Amino acid sequence: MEIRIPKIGVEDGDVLIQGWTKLAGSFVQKDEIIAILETDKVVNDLASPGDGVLEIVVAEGQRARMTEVIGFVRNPQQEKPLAAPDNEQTRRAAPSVRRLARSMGVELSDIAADSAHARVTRQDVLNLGPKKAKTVDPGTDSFIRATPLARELSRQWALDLSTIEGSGPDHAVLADDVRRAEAAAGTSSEHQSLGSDQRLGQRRSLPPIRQAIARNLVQSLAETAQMTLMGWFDVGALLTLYQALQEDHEYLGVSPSWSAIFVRVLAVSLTANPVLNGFLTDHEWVQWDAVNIGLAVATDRGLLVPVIRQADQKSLVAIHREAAFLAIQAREGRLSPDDMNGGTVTLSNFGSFGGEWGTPILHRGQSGLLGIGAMEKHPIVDQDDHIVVGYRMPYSLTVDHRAIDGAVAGSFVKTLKEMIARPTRLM
Amino acid sequence: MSQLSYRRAITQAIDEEMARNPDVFLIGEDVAESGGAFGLTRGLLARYGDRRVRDTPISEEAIVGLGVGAAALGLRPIVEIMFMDFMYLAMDQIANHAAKMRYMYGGQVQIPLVVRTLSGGGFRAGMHHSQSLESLFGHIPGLKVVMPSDAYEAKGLLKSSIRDPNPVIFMEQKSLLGAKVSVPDDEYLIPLGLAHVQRPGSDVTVVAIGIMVQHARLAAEELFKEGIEVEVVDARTAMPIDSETILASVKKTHRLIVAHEAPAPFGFGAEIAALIAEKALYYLDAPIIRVTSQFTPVPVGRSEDYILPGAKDIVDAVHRSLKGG
Repeated sequence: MEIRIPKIGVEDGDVLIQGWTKLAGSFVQKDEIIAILETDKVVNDLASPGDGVLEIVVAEGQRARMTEVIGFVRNPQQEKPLAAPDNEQTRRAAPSVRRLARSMGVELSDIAADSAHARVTRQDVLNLGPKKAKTVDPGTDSFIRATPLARELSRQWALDLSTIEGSGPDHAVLADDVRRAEAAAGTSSEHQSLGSDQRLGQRRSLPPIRQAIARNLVQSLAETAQMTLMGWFDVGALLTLYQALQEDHEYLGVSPSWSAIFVRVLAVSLTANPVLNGFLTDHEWVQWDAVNIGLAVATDRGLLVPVIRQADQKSLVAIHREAAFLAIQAREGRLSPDDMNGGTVTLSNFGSFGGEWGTPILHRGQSGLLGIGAMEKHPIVDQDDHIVVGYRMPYSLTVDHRAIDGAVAGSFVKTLKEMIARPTRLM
Repeated sequence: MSQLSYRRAITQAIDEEMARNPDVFLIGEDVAESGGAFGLTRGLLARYGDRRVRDTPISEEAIVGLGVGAAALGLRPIVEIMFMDFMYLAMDQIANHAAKMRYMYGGQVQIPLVVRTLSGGGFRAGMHHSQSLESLFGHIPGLKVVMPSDAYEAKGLLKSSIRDPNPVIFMEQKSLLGAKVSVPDDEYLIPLGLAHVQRPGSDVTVVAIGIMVQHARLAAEELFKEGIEVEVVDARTAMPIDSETILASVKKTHRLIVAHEAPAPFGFGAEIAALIAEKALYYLDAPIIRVTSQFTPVPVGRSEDYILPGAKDIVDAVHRSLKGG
């Protein structure tokens, strides 16, 4: 039985086998977790497709494409040993040979059958393969042979090892090969001049998650016309609710956070005034029925946005529990793609960092993002001309101006303010 | 400075330490009357008398046991085991008693015992007279294992071993006994546990121990003619290991060869390779290569030459390393 990389995540590209949790040759059961996979956004568990003995084809630390076979679960009673995966069914070969062939761009079916050895050997592949094993197709390259020092240098200098010609045995990349490549690339070592003006600095390559964040943000700005409205929410009534919730902590079992409260504010506002709950494609406006609120979570690896689904139908306490759980998952790198897909509008609470206003960038495929800053006291003149203490919170609402006019955005701010002034509507 | 053979360096070290400290005494098979099977203790009986230089019956366990007991009571015995191969007979005394007593008695007892023994091939004396067993003893907590690579090293290291408060296995390299080097006339000591960069170089590190240091030096001279600069590190002691010196060298050259005369499995080279894998993996630019004897008992006669490593093996290993393995 083949173990394939499942189709995970919205991004194309390959998947890192972060680790096999079972040893090769050990007995595994169906649905038991056997490996941990990492895409540029998430970490995923991989369950065994069946009962049997685990055979590993793609080792820990290597990358594989979606749907690629990375191992087998052998059931001696049901399966002939070493049956070929169906995409290369015609010839039999050990997994390592199969992998070598793939990395060299050699079709196993092109190798003449040797009647004495029905299985293709490593030597057969090397005989037929192009002289240079690497660089045939970097997109499908597997493991790159390189010394640890060569690897370290290429990392420091942000050079792609797969593009470097290796001079070692079996074209292994040595440190000198990397140094030559780096000299050719025109960058110099460690603390280097990064520009003609003699600035000193260091280059370091970005982790996949940061590359994905960068790509998404630039595309969001490139594809939409973003406008941010800024102002104050008067949150005196909300504060009363917040404090009441804190006091009722024992009965509720939790103390809902400001983020949870604003997820709920956003959800009920979108139900009452769904103007932001959709997005504009080139030719049409898509209006969502569900109100799914994305919640921006800062993690060591970058900003992640898990989604609280149908927040309009969930209580404050339920939202708080879900938000807290998702935040932990996010910080531990264990969000699944499903946890992050399908948001309709996003909340970003930069108040927890002491922020006030900003111009937050829309999540791709959405038309609204509400940013809230830190709450502060301010003087209010009441009906009797007395000066009393009020509480306010700065907000920044980014909308896609292509579809949302200023007046429409303003109407949504008005809805938000109504809900904030009457917290009973959040119940 | 004067030219001194490895053999006489050993004699001098014992002589000086016996003169310096009346607690030092020497026992072993044929060490007194005949001056040792290899003449290493010649003249000592006449100088110090038969209370301090004694021949013993042929019973390795009894000799070492006597040494352990004397050491526990405050004396400083030097016990000679004629061939390292015979140390298996004294293993219980060494491993279970000498090595453990200091721990067993919470530091209240020390065992300042030196077990001198002749190790290695080169005499074509076969599988019961040719072994290098440093890794067996290096594996036992409580023992130090010394392998001097020339006369200068032998003298300085043996004097330190005799003064050391712990049991030391001192492996004298049989095939180096006649080799002479310049040795200072004044007294000197070489501390145990410090490796020595015999020859600096920038291209490849060769960590060698015992006789292999000599082979490594010859190899380095050969390779220098090709423009290859080999750094030769004399480990000096198989235990303790001077990881600092070795790590610094590998971080500089990015390539490592370990050379020892014992076979590779579970050997000194494996230990050094593990050290590098744990502490300096990302500095390596080639696989680590071990130059060792074949994994077989040392055969009798000329066939010994086929299984023991030499300078040419190190030259080959350096070439391979520079090509990335």
